[in-house]
Amino acid sequence: MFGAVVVSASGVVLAACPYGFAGGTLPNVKTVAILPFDNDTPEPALTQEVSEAVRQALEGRLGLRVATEATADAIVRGRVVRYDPYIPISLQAGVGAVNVTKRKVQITVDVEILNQREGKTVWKRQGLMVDGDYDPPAEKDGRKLAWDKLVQQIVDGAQSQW
Amino acid sequence: MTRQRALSYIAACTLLTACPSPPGPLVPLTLGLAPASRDSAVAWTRTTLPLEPTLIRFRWRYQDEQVKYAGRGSTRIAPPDSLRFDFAGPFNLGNGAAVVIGDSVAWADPEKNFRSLVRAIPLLWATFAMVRPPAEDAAVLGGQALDSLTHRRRVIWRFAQAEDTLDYVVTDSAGRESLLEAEWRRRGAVVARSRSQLDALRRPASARVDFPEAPARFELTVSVVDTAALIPPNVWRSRR
Repeated sequence: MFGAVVVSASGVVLAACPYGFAGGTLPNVKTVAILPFDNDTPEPALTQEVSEAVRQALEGRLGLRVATEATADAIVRGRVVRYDPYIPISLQAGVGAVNVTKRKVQITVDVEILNQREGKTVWKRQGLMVDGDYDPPAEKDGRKLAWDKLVQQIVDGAQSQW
Repeated sequence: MTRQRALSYIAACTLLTACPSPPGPLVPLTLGLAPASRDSAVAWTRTTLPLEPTLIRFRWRYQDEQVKYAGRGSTRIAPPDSLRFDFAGPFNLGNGAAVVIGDSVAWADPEKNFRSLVRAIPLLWATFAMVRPPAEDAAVLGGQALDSLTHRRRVIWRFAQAEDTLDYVVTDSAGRESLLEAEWRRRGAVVARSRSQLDALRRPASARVDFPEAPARFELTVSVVDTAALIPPNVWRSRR
């Protein structure tokens, strides 16, 4: 009986707590502006894709709202530093040749989230490397996996700021 | 003259005044330009280039009769002749990049997006306050003028080929509100005209390019000029 009371009491206490599990946010940041990333690679599509991945992480997973640069609490900026799209990971011996049956893309990015009201860097990663396997020639599938990893890394990084 | 006829003359004159007319020439016909050596023109164009690799960040707006876009972009310049132009539209959509070497587009991806924004390569350089040297076969003319009222000095260059003529006018006011204006005419018709405002360090601050035939307008406002930028070699490569 005593055990039941303790369980009920802890349930009431938990219900009263102001914390939830709906995702975390960065300290003092509710709105963000995502600036176009610099692109040091020959693949122009990465500029848009990295922005989309960052937006997905911040808006979709961390519950922040995307706003204009003038009104946002924080800005996100960065750079796509390197893109290696054809790294072989699986080979099959053929007659007089070797076939690559699986490849991966590897993308290196710098990301910084800057609280522009306080002028402080909230989160920053340089040389963040993400990759994704694909069956040649579906390079875009590999990029999709790589961006999913970037989203997760941003979410993990932001939540470590609690 | 009858009262009725006088009124009709006045009405006709009013109508003519109100009608939009094509822009007048950047360099007035009355201004005498003298033949000049190509070497002196090339030497002048070199003075418009940055001394080191430079990154320019800017906001842009494009408008024609059908569409109106805005976005951000960056240009990386490796003097004397290489430029990479990156642009992104609203919400980072409609983005792309291009590499321009001299007067040629080495690659543009997607080409359609780039061509819709940048319709005249010599004027793209002029937008960023740089002037390309005249073509080997171009006739070169030059001149100077001093505005007696504002005391502003104007340096004028004309690079004329069989079909294309490029006019450049620099209005120098000792570092304040200096202007670089450029005009590209093809078979006598104005294809594009640009006007770039320079800052005190003679770097681009803002620019506007008009395409009278479209009609269309491209404007940009520079937010950052980084002269310590490192330009990685990969940016010049094309994937296609």
